[in-house]
Amino acid sequence: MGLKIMVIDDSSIVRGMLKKVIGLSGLDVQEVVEAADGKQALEKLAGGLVDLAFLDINMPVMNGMEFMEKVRADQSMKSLPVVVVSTEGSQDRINRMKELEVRHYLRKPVTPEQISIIVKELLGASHG
Amino acid sequence: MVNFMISCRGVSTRILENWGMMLVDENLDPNASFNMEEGFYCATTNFNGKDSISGSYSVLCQIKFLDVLAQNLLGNESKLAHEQKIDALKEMSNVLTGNLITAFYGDTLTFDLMPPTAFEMPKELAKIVLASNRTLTLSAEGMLVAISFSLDNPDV
Repeated sequence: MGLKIMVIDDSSIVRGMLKKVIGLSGLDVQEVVEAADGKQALEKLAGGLVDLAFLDINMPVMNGMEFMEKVRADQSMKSLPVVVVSTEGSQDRINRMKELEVRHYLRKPVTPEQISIIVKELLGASHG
Repeated sequence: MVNFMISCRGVSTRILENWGMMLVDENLDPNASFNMEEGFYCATTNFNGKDSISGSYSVLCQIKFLDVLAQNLLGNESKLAHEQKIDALKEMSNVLTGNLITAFYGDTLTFDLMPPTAFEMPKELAKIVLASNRTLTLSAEGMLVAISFSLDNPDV
């Protein structure tokens, strides 16, 4: 069965780009779920979990850090693997995200190869 | 300044190719110039870092470049709204700025990026920006695009 991946970013351009890059990564992907902010992502996750989430930090309504705090505090979602994809430059924020067990930090632009390597590392090589 | 511009060219080329999916021409035709009869679109991202390092990077282009960039970023959607095209340019500015800052100041600099802004630049202002020694011009897929910067760091 293919992977279910969530892309959380307030820019529809970035969500579209990430979907495209995921599609080019060669991974067996069943569905890419989009969310425009942390709040929307939590609502969608409440309706069904995903295998992995790509997360932006700077977003309106609920930013990436607030999202991670909610996810890690929720028993049903706390083990969700999350990879940050951002242009974020604040080391404080990046460190805080690491404390919240963000698995990787990728600076935009990301390549299909990076996505493939990280997903296989986090979820196992069988998804290639 | 020369090294700075070379680095800026390298980073901009990488972002245009990896993010914008546009092949950058290795050599810019010395006779190539923007069409001054057409309008200009500009997206700017301001940043603030520690130690008073702050400034902005802008991307300046014309409608044909904007169309191709938006098409590349948003896929084969045939009818893109103008607002979506402008969003594509803003995102390009945002990604470019984040990468340029890291290239020049290293991974350890803490900085905040402001949300990018975009506007249609008057031709007279575009002429001034294009003539500045803080602007570099690249040709991507045969279309010109200019990257302009303003830095408060006196070393640059």
